Amino acid sequence: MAQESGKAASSSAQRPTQDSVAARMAEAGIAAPENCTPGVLSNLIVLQDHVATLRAFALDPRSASAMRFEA
Amino acid sequence: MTAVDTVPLTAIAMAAKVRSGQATAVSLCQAALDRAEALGGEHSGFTRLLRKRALLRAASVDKLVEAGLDPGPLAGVPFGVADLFDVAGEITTAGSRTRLSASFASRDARAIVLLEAAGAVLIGTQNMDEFGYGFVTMNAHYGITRNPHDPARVAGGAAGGSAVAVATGTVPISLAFDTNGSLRVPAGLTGVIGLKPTYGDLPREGVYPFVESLDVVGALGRDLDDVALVRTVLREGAPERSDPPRGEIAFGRLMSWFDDNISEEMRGPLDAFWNRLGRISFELPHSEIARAAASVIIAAEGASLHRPALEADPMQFEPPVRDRMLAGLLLPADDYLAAQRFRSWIQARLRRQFELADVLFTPAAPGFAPTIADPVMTFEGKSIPARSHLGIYTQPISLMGLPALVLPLAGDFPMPLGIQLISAAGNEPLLFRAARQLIDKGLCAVPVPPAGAA
Repeated sequence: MAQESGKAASSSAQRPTQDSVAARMAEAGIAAPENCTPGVLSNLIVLQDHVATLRAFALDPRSASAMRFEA
Repeated sequence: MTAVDTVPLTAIAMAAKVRSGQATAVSLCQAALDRAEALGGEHSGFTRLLRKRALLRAASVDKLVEAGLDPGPLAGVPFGVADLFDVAGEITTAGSRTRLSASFASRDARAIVLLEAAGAVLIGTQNMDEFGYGFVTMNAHYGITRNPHDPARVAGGAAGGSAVAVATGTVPISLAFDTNGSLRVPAGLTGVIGLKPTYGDLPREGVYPFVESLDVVGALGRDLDDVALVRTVLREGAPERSDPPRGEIAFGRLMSWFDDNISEEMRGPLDAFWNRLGRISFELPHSEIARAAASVIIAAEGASLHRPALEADPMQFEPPVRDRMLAGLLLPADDYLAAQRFRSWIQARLRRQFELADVLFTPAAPGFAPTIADPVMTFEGKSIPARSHLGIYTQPISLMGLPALVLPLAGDFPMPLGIQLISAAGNEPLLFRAARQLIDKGLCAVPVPPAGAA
């Protein structure tokens, strides 16, 4: 089952920075020009907020499959 | 809005005329092609007209009629498809210049094959946001698609071209796609009917993917029976998953997430609509989490799909799409799996929700279509890009895999306002019955095409 918890912990995850985004893109094998970094950073922060919302729900990983694709 | 005097023929009426010999398929298709050409790409929604193919196909429909044979329930009906359906001999661009050198499609998408087997005639492809990643249909390479009710405003997206082609009366039906609201948002903003079916209900073969675990094929039209007929044709006689309940339909308005961030222009008409339906409200718990999960899934799957192109040359993508996809590439696998796990969990819980109400409703979009000059909307008191947020009420429904039908609210508004009806998975017949009831009561109506658009 799930509990509404952990929001504080998840939202306290360190924010990415332009430097960390550039490094992670390089690690991922993407050679994007430097001027892409601010846009990627702002999108990554939005995704991080979504992830924090998701993690705060704290769904027990055994309570549902992550691999079932039908409605 | 200023309206023209005439209401375009429905697909069913067109087919009846062709089957009875009162009109030819060639004349109907010629008229649709001429109208699209006269309006031009920005106003018709079309990116590519397939004149030769369409007229040949229409002539074959007329030959069947002349021979006393029945070409099918959509005989001679012109239609368009979003430019991510494969069309034999054409490049499926998916709205992206990264695909300008892609191979020609070797065959038509299954949905096109089925509509043409029922007598319909494909006349062209329609504009969309690049790879379906956006809610505005402002495409840097293929152009902007303008809202026919105010050309200074966006059509909504990602399948804005498909909605505009119908809203202008250029074609009675369009095939489109819906990942996260891709056809429901433009249906709401341009004042047409849009069906987003239950996940997996309609054939996706030959449709360029974006997010495999959310993508569905859907239909847009001006007439409810036309949209229902297209669904019937595309299902190839598959049995319905459930019988619609008899008797009075219980409607319920979704609150909380679906009641926040509604614009002033939408709130009054929505409240009036709700009053007429008995003011019953429900919660759809965890909708905000569902939206978050959908966003994570889209970012991860979309990025994974386009990784080779992103590695090869990220600058070929439109900047907003490129930046969103690059961010998606950096998401940990654990977060993606958590989003998928939540999806399974909430789908199982939702089955109980529909024991309380048959049909739930929400706005299709927060308010009127934003302007092209400043495509923003208000969310939690802040002005934010419409490109990434217009689907706030459609996204949770996609994650849940539920079917939805968007209808325009009836009334003399400066711009169309759409509502989204939602039912249990596999219960589309109930959605159509509910929509018919709302139209017959005068609560919903498709506006006639604005002057100059038809």
